[in-house]
Amino acid sequence: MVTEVKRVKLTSSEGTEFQVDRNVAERSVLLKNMLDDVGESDCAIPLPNVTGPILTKVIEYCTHHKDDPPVSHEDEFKKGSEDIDDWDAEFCKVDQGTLFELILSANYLDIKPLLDLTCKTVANMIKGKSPDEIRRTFNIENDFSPAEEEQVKFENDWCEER
Amino acid sequence: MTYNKLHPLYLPEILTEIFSYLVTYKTLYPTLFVNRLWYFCSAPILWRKADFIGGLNNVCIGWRKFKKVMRENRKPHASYLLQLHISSCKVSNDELYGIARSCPNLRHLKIKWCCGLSDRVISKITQICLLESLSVSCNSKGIKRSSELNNMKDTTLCKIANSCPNLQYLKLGSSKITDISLRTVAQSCINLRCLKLGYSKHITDISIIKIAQNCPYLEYLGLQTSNITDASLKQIAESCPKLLILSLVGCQKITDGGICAISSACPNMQLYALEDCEGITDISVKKIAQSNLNLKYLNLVWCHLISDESICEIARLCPKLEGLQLESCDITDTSIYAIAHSCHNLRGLNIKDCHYLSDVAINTLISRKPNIIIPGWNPADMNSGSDTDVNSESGISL
Repeated sequence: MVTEVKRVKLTSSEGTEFQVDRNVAERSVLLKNMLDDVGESDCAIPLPNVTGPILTKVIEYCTHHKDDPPVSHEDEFKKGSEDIDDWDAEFCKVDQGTLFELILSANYLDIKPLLDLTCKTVANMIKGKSPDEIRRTFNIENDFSPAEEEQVKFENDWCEER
Repeated sequence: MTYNKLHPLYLPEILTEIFSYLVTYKTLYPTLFVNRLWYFCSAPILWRKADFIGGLNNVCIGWRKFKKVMRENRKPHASYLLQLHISSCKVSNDELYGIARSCPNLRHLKIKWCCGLSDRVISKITQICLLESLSVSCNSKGIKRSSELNNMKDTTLCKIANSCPNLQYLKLGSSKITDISLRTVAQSCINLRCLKLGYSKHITDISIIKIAQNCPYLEYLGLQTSNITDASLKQIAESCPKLLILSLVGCQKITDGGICAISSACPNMQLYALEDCEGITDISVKKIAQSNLNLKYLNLVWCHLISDESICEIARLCPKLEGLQLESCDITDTSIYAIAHSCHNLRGLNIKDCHYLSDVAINTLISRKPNIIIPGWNPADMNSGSDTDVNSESGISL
């Protein structure tokens, strides 16, 4: 007996419809829970927070990782930003805007491995930079007063030596 | 350019997630100064662990700065401190206690080579901080005034045990601990996973049996020159199936009976240190080979009865072996060839005082495992230069 792979319909914020295999969609815990609740239905699931291009990327990730084993909780504590495999690294070679949209989507759709990957990628962009360089990379404004900066330095510079 | 409030770098939970990948100070420290939100998210992470390593010629500047901050009234992140390690730094009882009072969430405390501290301050600290790990080892080598902490007394350990029921990791360099306080540890600290004691001549079966009975999560037991017998090991075999590491250096009352019981009942064993356990024979080591396939380190220094018979079994059956110490064992070239042809993960081999070994055999071994470290081995007979530093100790340490 051949089991048919079920297809699921997703709609991006612009209204574009995407069809994916159910097991690919279920990499998202949010979608998995929705599908479990809704049961057999042909309705498309609307994703008003996710644009078409980003949804395409997310689907690409989930398809590539569709057979990955579930992440165990113990791995949570062994965080290191070195071990990104080649495919994942290529996947993250996008402009900042896309990268941040991916983070937000992974967060919203609850796809932990994608959230980890994108956060690790941003962490790698921060590593080794001075505060000024970090601000310039991400266009962040410094809202410290000089007095506040001094205070932060005094309270925390015991760890700078490492 | 302004970002709307939904930008990930303006969301605390995302920032915290990103910062968790930057846990080393060098990479997290700069984030404190980027803007206020980043500071609020990264300071709590940065403050979780504080490690200070000084030395005879090297004053730890970070430690001085940390003490200065601790003396201020304003220390907004002190309550985030979970782990404090101080090694070879100048610290007084008052300073240490003051830090503990400001950091009531301290869970992991390690003090090494800091002289001048007393027993009492540790037990006072445990009244405020529900410690999960405590490591106090003050080696008096090279330090003029022997630290009182080196000789923690039973009364202090009893107080500590009673105040810290969540204790999971206990390492003490004291040589004055006896069964009395260890029994209290057994009764109070049922979540104990690691117990490492220094020179333990006053420790007998009485307390170790109790520890085994009451602490089923035990993974690591280290005793040196203690008076325990096989009875303790048999109780451990019965009650502590999660054991991974057993170090019984100089515990001369141990025999094959005890080791075989452990190796059968604790299949995940990774390390045995049986240095100077003269009663151990090939029977134990063969049992280990057959039952503990995850074995990584085996120390049989001065176990004169160990021969090729069991070492060849180890070579054959323990593919994950990384360190092997066979100083003064009764082995011949047969073992060396067996090791040369298996043991693909072996990094260190100690064969000092094994008088029956030939250069040919050892050279064969080195040619098959060019990166192996063999302490004391002279490479004069080898044709090409070797990368290994033959004067360095093998990487095996406890």
